[in-house]
Amino acid sequence: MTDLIRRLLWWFTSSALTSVLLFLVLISASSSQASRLPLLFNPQPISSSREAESLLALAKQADARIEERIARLGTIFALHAIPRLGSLSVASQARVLIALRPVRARTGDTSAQLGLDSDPKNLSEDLLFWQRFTEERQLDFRPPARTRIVRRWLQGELSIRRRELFALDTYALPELVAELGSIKTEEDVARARLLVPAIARLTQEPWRLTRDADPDQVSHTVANIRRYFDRNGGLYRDPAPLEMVAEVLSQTEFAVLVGEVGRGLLGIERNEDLERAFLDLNRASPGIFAGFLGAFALGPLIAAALGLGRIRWPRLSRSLWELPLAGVALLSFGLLQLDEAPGYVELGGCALFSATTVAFLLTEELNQRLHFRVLSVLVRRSTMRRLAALLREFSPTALALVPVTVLEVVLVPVLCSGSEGRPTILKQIAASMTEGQLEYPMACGLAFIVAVATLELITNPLVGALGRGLKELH
Amino acid sequence: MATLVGSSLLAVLLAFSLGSLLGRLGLSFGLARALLDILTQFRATLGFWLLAALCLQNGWVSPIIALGGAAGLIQAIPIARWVCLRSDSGELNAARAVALGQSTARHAAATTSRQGAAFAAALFAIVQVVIVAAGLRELAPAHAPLAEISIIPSLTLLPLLLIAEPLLRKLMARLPT
Repeated sequence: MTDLIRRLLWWFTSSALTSVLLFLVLISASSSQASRLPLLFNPQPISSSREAESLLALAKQADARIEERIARLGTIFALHAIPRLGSLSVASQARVLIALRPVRARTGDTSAQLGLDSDPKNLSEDLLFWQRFTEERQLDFRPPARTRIVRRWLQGELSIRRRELFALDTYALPELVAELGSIKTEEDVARARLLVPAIARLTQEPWRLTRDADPDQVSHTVANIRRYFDRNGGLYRDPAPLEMVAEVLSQTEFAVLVGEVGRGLLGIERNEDLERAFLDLNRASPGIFAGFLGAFALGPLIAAALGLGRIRWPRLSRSLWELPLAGVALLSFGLLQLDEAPGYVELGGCALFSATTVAFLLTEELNQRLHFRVLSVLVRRSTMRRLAALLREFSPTALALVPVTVLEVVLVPVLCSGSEGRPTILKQIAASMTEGQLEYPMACGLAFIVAVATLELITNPLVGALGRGLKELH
Repeated sequence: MATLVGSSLLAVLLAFSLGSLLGRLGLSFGLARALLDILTQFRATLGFWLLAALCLQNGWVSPIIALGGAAGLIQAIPIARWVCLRSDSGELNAARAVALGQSTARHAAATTSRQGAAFAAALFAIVQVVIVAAGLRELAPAHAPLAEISIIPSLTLLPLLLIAEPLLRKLMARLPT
């Protein structure tokens, strides 16, 4: 039992480590020049309080870029900055209060739009407004109250509930995004119709849903919103010190990619790249199945037949048994490179290539084991007993071959089968990497990683058991 | 053709030497065995193809090294696994050899050279070169070492297999045991 738990734990750990390795190669090979988060580890994750602190520092330096950033951070900045305004000079205070006017308008205070100049009278009114706002609404700016306000608003869009939501401003964003959920039914679409404009208003991003948008279009928009939040969500959160450890790992490119692939796998959102990857792997599955069948049914049989031949004609050169196999493997691979190969040729090619690959390795293994003493014993036995002895001899090797043969089994379907004018899986991987879209290659890679890790989990103990059995037999 | 031959020789040598080394490390350290499991998974994700394409695109290595290196690494992993496998199923022999004064590493070297599947895997690196070249043609078309992979250039490698086999056997026979 302990051994099983240890092996299962290793299954998860090794798969995760290989995924990281694959991700590093993919992102290095990707030609996208888009701005990126750190790859695996973010030593300085963003949080709302950090962003607010840096904005206050910029306000002291009279930096002109703060207005847009303050408007983006919204009430979260106001809650952080208003109690600290006293530490700023009068000019800096004025800069902050002017930058907060669009936020004041967003919270539903229409009088904010009246005084857009830097008149000291208007500014003192601004200050008064924000001081009253932070004091009166202190209880609303807590996670349980935020959840209650958002859920109540979703139950029916009454003006009082909308005002409550608008007053929260950007503080409501994490809850609004969490409420998006998966888009499958008409109810989900109706919920998204409420949430998407509210999120777009708060983030000032151009997400729109037309009146006749179908679930697919809605799902696409929701996926875009989630992608935005995967990268910028940290701005609207203020994690506790212990939660910052999670942020160090979650605000990375790897976590963003894993999140996207995970949501696609769990069916939370539609991911076209993932769907394409599954469709292509599904199309390649007959070839992969033929390859496995060839590798572990035909391959050992060919090796056993050649082993019987070696027992019958022991003086013949060993190379004579192996070279034809390598030749057939090369020929079958070369044939599959030809364009427009019919389906049955492809399947046969997959089976033949993996069979000859495995047979090549097993034949040499048998040749090494069939030394003079073994041959002299086997020569006196019947054909069936010879065959049984041969199969028994190479069974641990054949089992140990299973995880490492996955590459040989999948590479022909991945490289060659692009039927009906569709590009091959490898071509699509290359194209995705050129576009900087890593979901497709990552999904294919994850499928292969899981397959190999599962085969390792099954075969490793079996190989050990067979080896022990053989030792006792000898 | 020169690229194919050069890469093939590099691949065979790299597969055998790196495979033996990794296998020997696997005999002594559990961490090396864990690394082998991860490398086996990485091998199946076409990771070494992507790595070779990355090296070629950035001009870090010559086509011969990219091609031979990728094929050699791909074949080194099964070799290392078999070295570890033999040690699992031949603990008695290992114990006997060590009792007679042979170091574990030397014993591993000897079992690698005697193990047929490992030897065949090293030779198969020649076939793997053709396969990796076909993969690189798709992944890095502008930098691929071979413009076209078809039956004829693939078959020209068969005589190389004929030459490489006795050479590799002689090399193995000279290994200290």
